[in-house]
Amino acid sequence: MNALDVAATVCLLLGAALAFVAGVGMVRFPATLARMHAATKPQVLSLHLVLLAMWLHRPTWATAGPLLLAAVFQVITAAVAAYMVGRAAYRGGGPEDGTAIPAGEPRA
Amino acid sequence: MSRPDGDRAPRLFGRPVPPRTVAWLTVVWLLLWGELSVANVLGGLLAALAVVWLLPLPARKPALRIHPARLLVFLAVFAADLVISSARVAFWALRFGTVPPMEIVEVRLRTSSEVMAVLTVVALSALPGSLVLEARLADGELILHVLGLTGDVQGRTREDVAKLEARIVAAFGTTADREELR
Repeated sequence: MNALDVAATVCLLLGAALAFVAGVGMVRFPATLARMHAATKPQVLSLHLVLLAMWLHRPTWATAGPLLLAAVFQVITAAVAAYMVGRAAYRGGGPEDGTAIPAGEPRA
Repeated sequence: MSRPDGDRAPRLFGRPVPPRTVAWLTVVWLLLWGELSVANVLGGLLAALAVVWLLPLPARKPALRIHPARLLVFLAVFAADLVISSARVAFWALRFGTVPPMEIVEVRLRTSSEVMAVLTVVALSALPGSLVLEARLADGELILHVLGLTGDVQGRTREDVAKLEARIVAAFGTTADREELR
């Protein structure tokens, strides 16, 4: 096992640990909006760590391309998905966790 | 990057073919194949031309100018933010027996450019701990759901968003966008 393999293993384990914590958050957090933080965000960092591990495993230009594309599109699609669900939860009755809603919200 | 893409773009069989879009799609094609060869470049160009010609997009005004050095600054700070805020949300997820603090914060953006506002929303949404609930781009107003911050949440969030916006405009903004934030 050389240094690259070690680095790849560390990245892979860290990514998996983050994905696990996201699952814990999903179960533990109260209300839709709080769960959205756990459901949509840790995958951005954990998936990037896993992609990095894949590249460290086989560090060539040919593998860098698809991995880079996956990373970029992950950020964009996760953001859009988080916004769509968050907005729907917010408009459909507001957060059920007791957080203050600004006056006059939500506006249709 | 200063002329409207699609407005004065070259036409092919009566439809505009914006060269920048074709170039970007060709790059994506090359990245997917993972090899730079004449056949791949030609194939990519053909595929890009077919996509652009078959699925035309409405012409948009030019609104993006990438500044490489500031783009690197933005990416570095964004990566650091990602790690810090992931750790924060993970901390609250694993802290049994307590409910994480949450707050709704209204933030006003300073930029009037829609492209800059969208990039800010995407960057905010990708960071754990901040969820964009509503983006009224016409008024430049965002409603955020913030998780895991304690203390002066409103003030800190406004400050963070202002800094993020400034970095985005510095990295991607046109000269007019930059003037606006001075």
